[in-house]
Amino acid sequence: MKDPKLKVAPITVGNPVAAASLAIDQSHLEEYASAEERSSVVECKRPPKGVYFTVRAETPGEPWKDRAFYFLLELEGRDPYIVAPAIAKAKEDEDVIRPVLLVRFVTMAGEEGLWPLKINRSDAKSNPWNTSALNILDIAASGKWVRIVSMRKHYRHGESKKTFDEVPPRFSDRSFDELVNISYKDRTVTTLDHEIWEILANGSSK
Amino acid sequence: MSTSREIVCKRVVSVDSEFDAKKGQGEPPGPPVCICAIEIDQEGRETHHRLAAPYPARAPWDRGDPFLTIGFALSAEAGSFLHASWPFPMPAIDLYAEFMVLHNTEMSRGEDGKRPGPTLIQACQRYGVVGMDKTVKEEMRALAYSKTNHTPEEIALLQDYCLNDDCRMVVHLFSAMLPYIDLLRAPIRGAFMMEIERVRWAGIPIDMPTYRLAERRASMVASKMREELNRKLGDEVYLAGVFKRRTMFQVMHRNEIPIPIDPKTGKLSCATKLIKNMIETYPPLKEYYEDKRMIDALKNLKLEIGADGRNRFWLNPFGTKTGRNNPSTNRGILGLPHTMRSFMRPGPGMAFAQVDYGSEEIGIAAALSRDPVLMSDYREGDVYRKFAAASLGIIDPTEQQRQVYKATVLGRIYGLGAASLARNLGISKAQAERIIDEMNTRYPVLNAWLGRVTTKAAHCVPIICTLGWSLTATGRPGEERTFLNFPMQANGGELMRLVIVRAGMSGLRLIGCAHDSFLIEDTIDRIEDSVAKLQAIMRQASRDLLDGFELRADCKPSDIVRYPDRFMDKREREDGMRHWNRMMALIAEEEDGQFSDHRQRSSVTAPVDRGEGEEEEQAAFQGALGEATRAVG
Repeated sequence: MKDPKLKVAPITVGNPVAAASLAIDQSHLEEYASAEERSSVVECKRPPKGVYFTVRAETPGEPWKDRAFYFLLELEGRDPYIVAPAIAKAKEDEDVIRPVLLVRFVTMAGEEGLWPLKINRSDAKSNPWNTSALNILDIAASGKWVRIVSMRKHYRHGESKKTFDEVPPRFSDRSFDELVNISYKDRTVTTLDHEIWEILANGSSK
Repeated sequence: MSTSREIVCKRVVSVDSEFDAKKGQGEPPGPPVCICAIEIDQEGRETHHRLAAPYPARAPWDRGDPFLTIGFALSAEAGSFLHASWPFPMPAIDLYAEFMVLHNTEMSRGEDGKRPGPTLIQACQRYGVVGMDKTVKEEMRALAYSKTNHTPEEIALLQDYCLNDDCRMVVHLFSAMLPYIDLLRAPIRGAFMMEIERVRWAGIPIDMPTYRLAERRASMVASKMREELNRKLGDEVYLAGVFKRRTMFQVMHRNEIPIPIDPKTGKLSCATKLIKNMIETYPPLKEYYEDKRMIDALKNLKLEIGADGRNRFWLNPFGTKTGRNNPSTNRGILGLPHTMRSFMRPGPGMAFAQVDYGSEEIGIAAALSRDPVLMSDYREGDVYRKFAAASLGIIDPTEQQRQVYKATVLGRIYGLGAASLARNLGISKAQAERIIDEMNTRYPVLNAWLGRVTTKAAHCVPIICTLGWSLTATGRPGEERTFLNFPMQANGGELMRLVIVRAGMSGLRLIGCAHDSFLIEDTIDRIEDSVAKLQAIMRQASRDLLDGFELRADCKPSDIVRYPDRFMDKREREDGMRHWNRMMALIAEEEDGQFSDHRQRSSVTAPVDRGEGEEEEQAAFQGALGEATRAVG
């Protein structure tokens, strides 16, 4: 086997003689609940399978604080777009646009995300996937750590024995809108001259 | 060597050697058939080194300027360096150690404990490095092991393999692992991997005549001990030589002893590791605990002892999820029950000593939590006595009272709840809750800190120790106890590694380590100086890693053993060497019985010839029994 030249030097490593200066400060054991480590990426997708997550309950005096309806435009092979309601109405013939409920969730490990839940159409038979997902949302909102399990025709869920007292959810202090903005940066359609309409009309080689 | 925090290395040297490891024989590894290296400079240019005996005074790539040595399981190469009389290279990164650090969490997920460390081929596979042929490796190993007088052609063949397979694969593996390696702390682990070979090489001196007698009579002695234990417990917990768990449950039931539940299986268990915490409360359990451990050890007595009478065994570094060593329990003397460690005995003119961190776990808990009362109690001496005295409002608590408070403090940092504590101590749950409350009142900062550690772990955030060892929870129920105890155990492991590295660099002769204790050997006239130096290293290591907090490094005069004395574990000494002497007496009965049978049979055939070796064993054995009895008065 002829190897390409490996560039592994120069390399800077710790000096074992100076171990005292290399010791990792153990005060990190204190910082468990501070959500200071913010991820610069907020994914908008169903919470990963096998991972416990929860959502905030709706506060009576403060509804829609951590959830909202949006129109999403989804194309195969592309990240989804948020479409402004007026534009969605103007393009109501496009079957790639549909309303979803975006809900802020956090995993036990403190990772935040947005969960897009599809809504059953009022003029059609309800979809068991959508219905079961909404049921799991309600259970999570009742103060439980849950995880999603896919069955053949719908979702099931598992509940953790760990309570919020044992493992408090670590929502960051970012607002829901901030999360949506991070997640859909550059992917918000607010005009009819957005490039996505050209792609839908005539295709794209990209 | 420079004392700056970082070293800039302009060259990387991948080194490997071929030799007979003499695995499982208790011997130091054989001399290297060859030592090879690939040296890579800043331009990526390679220089290949193929060496064979006689070796130069220093490695040809060691030219005075800093270079980084890389290898896989460098303890093997350390043996070759010792043979060649080369100093251990520094800095060095051991990819085996780094693999263990990086993959500790995934390796610890199995139901049957932590998976064993990888071979070079397995590590390469994990990182997508291909090109190594397992069959060729085995063939070359067989060639290296098969003899000592290799022909020039065979040496050349082994050098080709060593250079083009092992050294090359290490370079590729290093390149693949590089983005993930903590380059600041990896060289400490690299140095540790080489220093433990120095420790293993030294070996622990064994009183061979006594040990050989015990080994020869182990089966019969174990059989007699089983019978004795049945008598002591009033039931046949051993039936036809087989331990009967259910019978032991009945014994415990009759004696109103609660039966522990194994946290791993959720089933009732009388495993000695679970019983250990209850032996001070329930005397029958103490007999069971000590005897069963001895019976198990005798059943499988296989210490690896070299021709020089020294016990050498693989320490299995990083073999536990806490990063502590995980050596075999029957190959090394320190894995035997403490009652049987008296086989350790220094040679003529020599002495050894056991130095250990005093109350290591609670000291680390004090340092990490910064609980001012706990720190103060630790510095003043006996934490448990202080706690007992304060809670009971008395000046001098009894040993039994101390034990109750000790069990509470240790139980709390091991995640023991009131129910388990009550069971272990034979008190009501309400009493246990009260003592736990007293502890939380006395050490509120510790209590809050333990809570935060558990919560952090529950969030599946890695718990990272002072030199980078870490573990991440998987989110499965029942992990809390592991993580509550993890900072204490794993930082204890970090301390142990640093002490071994510094002791080796200082030229001290460590011959063993177990958990928080170290065995050091020297001549009788120098042992006290060496112990003092080791204690200074241990204290300094704790200050360096625990933000200035100093742990005690204990070594009482009775912990120093000088020839011709033998080692006596503190607990066994306090117990009048009861178990050791009993074992010796049983061996004596066996020996006498055999010789008397032999004499009877021989009287009609031929005179008995016991042979010189057996005479010597007999004399040594009589000494072993007598001096142990005298030593405890």
